[in-house]
Amino acid sequence: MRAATVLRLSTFWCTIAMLFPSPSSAAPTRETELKAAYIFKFASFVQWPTDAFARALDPFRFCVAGDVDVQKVLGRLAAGQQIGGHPALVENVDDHSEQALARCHILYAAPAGERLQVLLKATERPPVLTVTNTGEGLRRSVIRFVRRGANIRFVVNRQLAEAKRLSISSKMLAVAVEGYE
Amino acid sequence: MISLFRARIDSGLLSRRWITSALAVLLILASALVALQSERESYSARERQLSVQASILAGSVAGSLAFDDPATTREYLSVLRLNKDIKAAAVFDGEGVLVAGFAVAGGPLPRRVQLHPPELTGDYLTAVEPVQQGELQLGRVYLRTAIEPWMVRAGRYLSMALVIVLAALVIFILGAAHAAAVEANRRLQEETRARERAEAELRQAQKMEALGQLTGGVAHDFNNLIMAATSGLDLLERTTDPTRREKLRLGIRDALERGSKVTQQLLDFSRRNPLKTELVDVCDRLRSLRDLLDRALQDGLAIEYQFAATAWPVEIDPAQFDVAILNLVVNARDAMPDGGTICIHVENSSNGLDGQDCVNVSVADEGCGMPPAAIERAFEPFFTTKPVGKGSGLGLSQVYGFATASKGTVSITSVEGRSTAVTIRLPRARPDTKWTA
Repeated sequence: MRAATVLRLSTFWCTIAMLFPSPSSAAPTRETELKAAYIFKFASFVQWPTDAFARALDPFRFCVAGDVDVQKVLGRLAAGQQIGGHPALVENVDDHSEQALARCHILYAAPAGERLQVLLKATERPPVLTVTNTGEGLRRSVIRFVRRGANIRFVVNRQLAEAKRLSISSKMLAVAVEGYE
Repeated sequence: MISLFRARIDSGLLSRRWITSALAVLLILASALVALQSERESYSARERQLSVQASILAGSVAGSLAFDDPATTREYLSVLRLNKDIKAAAVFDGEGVLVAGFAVAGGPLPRRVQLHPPELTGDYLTAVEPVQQGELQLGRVYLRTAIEPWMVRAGRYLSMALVIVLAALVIFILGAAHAAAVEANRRLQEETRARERAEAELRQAQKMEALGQLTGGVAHDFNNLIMAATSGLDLLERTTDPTRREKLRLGIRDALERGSKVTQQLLDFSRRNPLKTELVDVCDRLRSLRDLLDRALQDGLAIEYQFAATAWPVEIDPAQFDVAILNLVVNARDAMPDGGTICIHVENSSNGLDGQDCVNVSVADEGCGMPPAAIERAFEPFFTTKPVGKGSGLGLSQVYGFATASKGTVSITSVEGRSTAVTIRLPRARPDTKWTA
């Protein structure tokens, strides 16, 4: 082929590429870093019931929906780590089934509105520590991130945690903030 | 086991200087060891305490450190300030950056810390513990406490040492005192033994002396009598004058009789001669002796008889009784050269001889009395305080022999210069004995 053909082909592929938005290649924001770090840390301050793990070597599942950035950072933090003796695993659950969702230990649901309600409904009964960014809607999550000035804090729904048989350490509760529940 | 121990103490085991010194030194060493041990224990207790305090701090700040809440971290640290023992405390995050802290003594907070168990630097004990939650490493805490300044500790140990040294001193002194006591006791025992030996020797010497006197006296008297008889016999062989011959014959017989009397008296003293005893009422007997006794007296002397009509019967040899009374009256007479009264006193007594019934016969005078040395030797044969020719020294020994042979006693009571009384105690005859006179 001649140069002209190469040029035409590369243009074609570039156009194609522009049609599909690629993931952001910018550095993760501080907020992303903090949230990911906190989600990872929550795992050490909470105790799951014994039936949350079928076998002793079953992985600890961090499930992320609707936030690829957080998922990436979390993936980096969790690489090679263990939570209570279980190997840490980070999964994307954007298009997973309900059964798959029920197997999560921590679910970070970034979207809002309908999608959020669906996610929360799927994880209402099983002992999944749900983490969201909003308190709107019918269903609630156990932990909700809030902004306090330049910092990220979180609100804990203790009754919900108790109903899900999740035991949250008082050390974590001490730094949780009050919020509308 | 204990008696063995006691025996060793009594034998002066503790008196040996080196044993008490060793005990004292041992006491000091033991207390030094105890002090060292207590020092070590107190130090490790402080280490443990610091470790625990650091762990508690680490646990408290885990949450605030994990979720970037320095305000809460500072709150927990400020609680530690209340504890006066804690001189510095700090919390570092996962990157080793100081989050919050304070230091009241011992210098500023360190910039970076390495994990280490409690260790001593100067006057302060420091520790660095990790802050972790599960497998999460969140940071480090740093704690610094003060240990007792060495001067305070030294003061405390010095005062304890003083007490110990005093105690050791007391042991030492007690040991020395005990040693001295044991030594004194030993010396006392030695002296007592020496004195007893000396007394025994003295008694032996006295016995030998008395024996010597006796044999000498006896030999001397017999010698005289034998010589008198021999010379009489010589003269008798050489003369034919009947008057002279009769005189000489009587003289020889007299010498022989006197010899016999001395023999009799000696035999009485040695109690070899069995007495011819009868039941006698001493009052009756004394009444019959009256005339004989009066004849023994001289001008200016009188005898006073003090007794009831009868006395309890006693089993004695009446002849020997007469001789004894006569001897006593003669002694009483010789004690009163310027006249006086001799008192013969008889009484029944219920607790004279070992609580038995007895009859006491005493002859008392108001004469010159007897010194204790004379009283002690009065009954010895041939012992006499009378001038030469005036006494044979056998009178009281006959009395002694008579009293002893009659199963009684004789004793002398005398006040020097005032009076003398000799008392013969004779046991009452048993009721079943028959009267013979």
